[in-house]
Amino acid sequence: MDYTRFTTRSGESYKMDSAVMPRRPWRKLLWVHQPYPDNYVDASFLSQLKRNLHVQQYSFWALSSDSTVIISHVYSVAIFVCVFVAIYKDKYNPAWFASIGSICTLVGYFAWDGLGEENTTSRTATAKSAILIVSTLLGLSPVLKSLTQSTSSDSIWAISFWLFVLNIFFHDYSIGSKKTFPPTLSTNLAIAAATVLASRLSTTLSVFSFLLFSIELFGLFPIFSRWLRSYSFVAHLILTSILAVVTEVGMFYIGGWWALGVWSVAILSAVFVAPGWLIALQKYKNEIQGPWDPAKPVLRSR
Amino acid sequence: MPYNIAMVSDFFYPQPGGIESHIYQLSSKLISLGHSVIIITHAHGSRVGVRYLTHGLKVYYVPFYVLYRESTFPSVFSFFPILRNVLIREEIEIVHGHGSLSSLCLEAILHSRTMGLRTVFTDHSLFGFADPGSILGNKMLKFTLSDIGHVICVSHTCKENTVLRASLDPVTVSVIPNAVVASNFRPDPSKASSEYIKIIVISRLYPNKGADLLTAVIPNICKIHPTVRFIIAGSGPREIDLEQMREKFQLQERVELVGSIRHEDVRDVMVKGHIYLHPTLTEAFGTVLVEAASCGLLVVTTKVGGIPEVLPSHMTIFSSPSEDSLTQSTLEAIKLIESKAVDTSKFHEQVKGMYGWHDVARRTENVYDSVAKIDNEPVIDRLKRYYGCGIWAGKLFVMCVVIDYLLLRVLEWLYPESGIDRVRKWPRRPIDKSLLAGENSESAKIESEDEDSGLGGTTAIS
Repeated sequence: MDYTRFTTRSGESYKMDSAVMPRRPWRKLLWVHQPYPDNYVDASFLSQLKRNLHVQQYSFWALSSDSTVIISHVYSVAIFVCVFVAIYKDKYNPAWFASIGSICTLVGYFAWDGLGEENTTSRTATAKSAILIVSTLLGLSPVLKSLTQSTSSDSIWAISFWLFVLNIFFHDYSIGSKKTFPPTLSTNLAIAAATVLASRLSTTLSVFSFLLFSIELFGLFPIFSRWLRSYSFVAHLILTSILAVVTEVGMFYIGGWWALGVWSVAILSAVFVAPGWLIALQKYKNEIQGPWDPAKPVLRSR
Repeated sequence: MPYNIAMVSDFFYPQPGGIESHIYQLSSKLISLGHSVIIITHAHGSRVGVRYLTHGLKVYYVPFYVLYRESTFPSVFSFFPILRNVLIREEIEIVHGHGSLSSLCLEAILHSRTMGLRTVFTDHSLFGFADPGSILGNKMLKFTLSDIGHVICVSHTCKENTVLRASLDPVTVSVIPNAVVASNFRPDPSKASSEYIKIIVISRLYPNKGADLLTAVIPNICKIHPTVRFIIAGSGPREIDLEQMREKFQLQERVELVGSIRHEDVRDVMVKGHIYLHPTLTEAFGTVLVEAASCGLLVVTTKVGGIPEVLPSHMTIFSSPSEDSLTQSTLEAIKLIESKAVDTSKFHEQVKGMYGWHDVARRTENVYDSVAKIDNEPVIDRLKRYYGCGIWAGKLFVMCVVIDYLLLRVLEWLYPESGIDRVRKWPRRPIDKSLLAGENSESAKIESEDEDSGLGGTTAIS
């Protein structure tokens, strides 16, 4: 069989070859020997290439309102830090925070229990496990108080900072089905941060109160806020506004006007500037799809 | 004119696989065409040093740390000293790398260009553009292929993919398909069952090979057709799903799981069946489809990647990668076999005319001729090519290449070329003139003449 001589890098000889091309059109097949050179480039080359097929057009206000989901979790972390500073500086009675947290938890629980459609665990079982956790915590508090006595405070601040950063990254921000509970990783990170911070506190009562508050805030509150998001987004926005006010007050108390200003600018830019920036960056989007992509199998659910 | 060629890849015997057999078959055919070929790969366990295979095909097993799935650790420069030594010893003119995931191959291409040798690269697989692994792999490929002589792809779809991934001029990319040793895949109608329709699946059981589709399709077909039997060869993480499916639908009698088989045994499994089912989700070429057709099986396959280019429509039934479509296509194939509407007995002869290693070697030789004509450009022009790879990547790549040149100077000073012994070439029987004439009718003769060289190579080295 006669292979047409090979074309070279330069465009000229390539064109020369296409000039003497036989009439029979080239086909994208391998099993048939075609009178074209192996490096022949047909006009149909890359014709199946598709660009930005699955790119979603964002609207500013949708992005902005969705960002409140992240913001509300950041608020939780900020409130938690404020509470720690308040207890650490012995400014306030730690039992106060535990009581406020427990009252909010009870209110939240009854709202969830009353409005949620189906709850698999009975109320007595929930009450039993709540009592168990609280008494375990009470028993462990003296141990946890001396947990990191041999570690310097600076290391503790650094560790808890990174644990909270990871917690914010791994938190489950999804909106939708309330069946699945938040992933344990982010909860564990937050509880670990709370434990190392608690070990800096001076009395057993403050350790107990602080840990109880942290379990309520990072263990139970995410379940509630997830449910609230799927129940009603307006209720979620109201809750976020309440959290916002509480956080601003807390920031003002621990850091004065300066902290309040920086915090507000950061939050406002996350809600209003970041979505606009994301939309502005969309013009650089260049997704490539073609026949080489692995196919997505379509299976009938059984 | 005959060339001294070095094939470089992480993927070579004794580990089994498609690239491995491609390199072996291509090398032995190039040797029959009068070229001198060596293979450079990483060491496998105690297999370190120089080994000879049939035809005087020499393999250098270079000791290197294996990182992941037989790929060596990418260290950019550490391979240079030993590579330079081997290339000078063997007086290599053309370095031919295989497999874009092989860091050994990519490094060899970079260093050979620094030494001023001609380079060719063959891409065997398809990659996406979105996941982090692909992005990193594509950057590395773009770096290496910025200064490649010529690229070979195994299918037109693969060519489109590679051109996009490495930003190449499509004229520098040739499409040369894989081939099969047809004589190793002869049909044997006496082995096929007459009372049952047997469907063969030979595939590694990974999600990207469509193992989930397969698990979903089998019970559907078994429910509709009581006389259908399945033989599934291959292993992988999804094997357990298949076993569970078999138990759930009580198909132990009808679905035979053979486990992984050696490439030599593929034909013996295939000839037991009537239909070959290929549920894959991605495929650059699909040599196994050609092997199945050569064994006289009707092929049912998903229409993905380069598969639509491989076989003519009378040998294949295409389906979309969905459970319903694949079930429908398989049922259609069963009907065709039952009603004897297709004549599978002619498949072997037809496939033999379509794909042969001799043909592949001749077309690869054309590529070598074209790269031998390219003049080496000044260093600065070479650096310009790398500089164009990206704002940050370009500068990094240029730095790597400059260091590579300095390293070459150091190596030339430490191990001067005059101090490296040149090897004597393997004594060769006089070149058969008819081989060089390369008539189509001859290629069939060569196939049968070299019959035992095909897979005999595997036994020779193990």
